[in-house]
Amino acid sequence: MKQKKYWGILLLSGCLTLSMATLAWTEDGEGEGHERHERGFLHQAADIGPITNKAYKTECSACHFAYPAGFLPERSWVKIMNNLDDHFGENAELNDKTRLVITDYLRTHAADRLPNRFSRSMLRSVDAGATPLRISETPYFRHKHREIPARMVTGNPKVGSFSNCLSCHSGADKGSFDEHGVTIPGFRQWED
Amino acid sequence: MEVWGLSLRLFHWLLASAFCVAWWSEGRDLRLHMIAGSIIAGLLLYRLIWGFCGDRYARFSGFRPSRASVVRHLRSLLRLQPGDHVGHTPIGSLMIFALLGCLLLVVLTGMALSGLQMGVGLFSAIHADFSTELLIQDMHRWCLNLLLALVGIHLAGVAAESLLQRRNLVAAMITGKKTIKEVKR
Amino acid sequence: MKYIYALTLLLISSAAVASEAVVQERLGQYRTQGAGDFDAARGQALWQQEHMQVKLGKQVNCASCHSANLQQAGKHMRTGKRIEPMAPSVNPDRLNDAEKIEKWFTRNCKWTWGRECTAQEKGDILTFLQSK
Repeated sequence: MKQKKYWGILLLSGCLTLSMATLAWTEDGEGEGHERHERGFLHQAADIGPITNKAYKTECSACHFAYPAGFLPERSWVKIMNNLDDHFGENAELNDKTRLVITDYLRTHAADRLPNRFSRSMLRSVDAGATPLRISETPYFRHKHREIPARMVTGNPKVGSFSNCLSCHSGADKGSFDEHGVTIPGFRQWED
Repeated sequence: MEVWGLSLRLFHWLLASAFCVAWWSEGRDLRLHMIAGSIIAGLLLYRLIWGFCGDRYARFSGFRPSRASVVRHLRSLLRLQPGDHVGHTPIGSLMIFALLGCLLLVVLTGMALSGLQMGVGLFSAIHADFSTELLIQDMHRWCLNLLLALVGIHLAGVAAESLLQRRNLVAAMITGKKTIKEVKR
Repeated sequence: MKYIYALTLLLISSAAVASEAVVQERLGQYRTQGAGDFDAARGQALWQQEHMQVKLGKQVNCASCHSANLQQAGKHMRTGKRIEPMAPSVNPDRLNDAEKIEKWFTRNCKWTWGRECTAQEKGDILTFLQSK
């Protein structure tokens, strides 16, 4: 009977090792070392990451929260950056040099360029032919915020609109949109 | 005598802890959640194999509940009479199959999600549209709710049987040993 | 204690000196573009002049976002984002970056008035802002 016991333990450890190993399994198995690391689950399961381009951060947070590039596909960012003189009704013109630097950053970190679980789900929710300009109008965003009543956002003077991420997602400027870090100003902490 | 083998006991308590960790970490730390979920997947694989080639009380064939035995067990419960069970009781057996099945669903939907959302794991190659992703996510949640209900009943059942049989069943699952009364022939 | 006073004074005055240099450079630039004497009172009138913003369908002026009292913070009309005070006397970060000045003139004149500001208007406005 003792032998049986050892087989049992061996089987248990074998199964556990196997299942843990599958976590290292990613699609497009071969890739450069750095890229592979970025596609690993540890990286992708984390937050969307803070904004790493100084020009974008400075220029594009003057009037609103600087939105993470991974929340829109590349084509959307290109369209926005090519129409800064009519930026959602405002004039946000930039000199060419700065504009190109920012556009380049947004393009290389867009939802269809960087593997990240937010970006993937976001992209999946958007039609291949559509070019959404507002993150808050993508089906993914709408789904995530479907339980929030209007009075807490548009009817809330401390928030104003769904574009005002930082007012409820206090970790947003670090790229953290964790559900457990949501406090709606004027109301208590939001529990899912 | 030893009823529950060492690997079975390890399995049981690892499963319980991994489940608690997975439950708590969902929404708080996805990385921890996925690790706990993977552990559960491995544990389930073990149990499936062990259920066919393990020791007497662990094998599925040893406690497949027949309708008759379940009815008999139910009757004796209602009369508050302990049955004479060494391994799993008939209703307990039903519960185990229900728990294992439900866990399997939760794990499979979870693996599908990690494949879809992150391209990670056994299902990393699958593709689906947004509404399918939402459906799988809902299924993951529904199965969890069912699982929570089952766990609640499981805990109540263990308590009830412990009282009826006058045996500490929780201790038995730790040490593996149960004292067997003399069988009157 | 005295040192802290002196240090603060030094910092403010150095910021003031920096912004003074930048403004003078800008004014000089505007003169080469054909502007004449600059007048703070004219600048104030421009600041408060109302125009119809076509897309918004409302009358707006500079004060709509920057507030009529330059020593107070303003608020973006749409996003509600806080805009630090324009007055260099309370905000040492103001008027010390020529590129920044031009960038905001381009954007805000176009949005508020529907056209670029002339060199004269920019000079008047800068003079007005600097006096606050």
